[in-house]
Amino acid sequence: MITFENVNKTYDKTKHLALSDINLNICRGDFVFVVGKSGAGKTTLIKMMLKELDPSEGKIYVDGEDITVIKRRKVPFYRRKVGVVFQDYRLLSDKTVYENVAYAMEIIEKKHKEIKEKVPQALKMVGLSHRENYYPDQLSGGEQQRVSIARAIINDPKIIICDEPTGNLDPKTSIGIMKLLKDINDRGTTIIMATHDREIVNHMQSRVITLHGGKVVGDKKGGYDCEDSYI
Amino acid sequence: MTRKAGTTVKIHTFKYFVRDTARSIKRNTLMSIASVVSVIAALVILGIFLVIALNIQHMTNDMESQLELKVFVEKDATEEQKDQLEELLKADSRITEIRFESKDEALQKMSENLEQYQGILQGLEGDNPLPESFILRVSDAAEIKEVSDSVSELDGVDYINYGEGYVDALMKFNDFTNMLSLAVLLILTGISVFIIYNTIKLTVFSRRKEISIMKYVGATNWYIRVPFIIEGGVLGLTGAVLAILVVRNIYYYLLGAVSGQSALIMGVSFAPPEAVLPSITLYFMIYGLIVGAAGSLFSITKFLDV
Repeated sequence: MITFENVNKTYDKTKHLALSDINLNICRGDFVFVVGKSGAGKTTLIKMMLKELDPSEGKIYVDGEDITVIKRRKVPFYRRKVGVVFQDYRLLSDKTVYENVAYAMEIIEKKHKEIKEKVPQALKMVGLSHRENYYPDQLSGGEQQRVSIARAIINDPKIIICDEPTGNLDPKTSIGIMKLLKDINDRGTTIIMATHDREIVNHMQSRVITLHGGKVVGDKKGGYDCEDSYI
Repeated sequence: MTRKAGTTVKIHTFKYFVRDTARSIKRNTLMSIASVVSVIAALVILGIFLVIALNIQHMTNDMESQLELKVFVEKDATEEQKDQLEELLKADSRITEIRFESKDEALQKMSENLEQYQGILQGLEGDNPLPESFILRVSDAAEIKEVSDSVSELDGVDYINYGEGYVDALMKFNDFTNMLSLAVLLILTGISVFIIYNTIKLTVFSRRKEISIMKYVGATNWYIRVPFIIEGGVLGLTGAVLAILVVRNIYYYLLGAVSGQSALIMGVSFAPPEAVLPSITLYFMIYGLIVGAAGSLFSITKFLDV
């Protein structure tokens, strides 16, 4: 589903080598954690999958397509295949829960009828049908993250990329969010999640890719059992 | 069927654009008012300037149309020579009007102009020394010198008088006002674009989160740009319409103030409002729309590199 081939990334301005010689293969339906200290290269890796950054060298294939050569005007169409969930939820405060989710369909010009049909389904899936008309600031952190997940899945992406989705949540709420992500993963969506949260990683017992100093230093299924210096 | 579906989507998208523009203007009421006021200020200054320029043009056109060439015929020219000269003048397409002034007519005109010297002039009736002349008008005042040069070479022409210095000064003045209007237009356009650019930049900045979400979900750049461009256009157009009303009132006020003094400089009058205002109205509306939309386009493009 996602393949990194000899990827290097050096930032032009600082000449800082953010990622070095990355070779990865993530299969369809995988649930993959990307862990590592701040500055290890997690964000760079995620930004490349979102086509926010291009590698300095190497190729990245997503769903069979080399995304390093996509033309600028084609980027939005690529992004429609990828859902994204952020640590800070990024909801629009002047829109209700329903509108926030519907918005993701409106801007890719989906029909009104389809929107009316799919948004309640997505809200039901994340367990927020009863909060449809609430505004984000009337919700708890966990509920806001659920809205953002509903928005990420509404256009049926093949991949969901999560950047520290439980970073602002307490452990109990985090477990609920992880259950939800696992449910989505069980329906066939590939999930890649960058995190610092050792407990969650151990709890999920999924594939863990460990980055350190821009290199992959660990890639195996299981818990967060790597050296402490990498965390 | 596909076509029908496409149309539905477009109507829906259009509704979104309208809703979004209205929402954004409402949310940024103060900034929107500030930018409309700025556009009004710039356009009122420009409008006053344009009215002055158009009036100067009207006046110079007026003066130009009154310009005459006086072609004096040689004293000993025969009737045949005069007829031939008239034929040649008639054949010249640049000349729009030819009038012959005989010795007697010249004397009568002179006596009308110099009433206090009636006594002296009466003595001339027997032996009138004034020359005969053809009085010409040309279609384009800029060609008056050329016409004069070519006519002076014709047989039977003694000399030509057309107020050379006066025409040159008029032409230079005309060129100068045209250049000045262009310069003012460019400067004020720059200012207006800059104002709209900054207003939209603020609204874009306040909506940067929304823009980044739009980009992550896969909205195309044009889809993101259009509401902002519409917003800029609406602000520019609103400013323009209000500026037109201000300029219109100022012009009517000025016309009212000078209407008692009909004898203006050299018998030249102000341009009537219907000659000035419609062109300014149309011009301002297009101008407001384009300047607003362009200002928006510049500022949004900077924010789209996500």
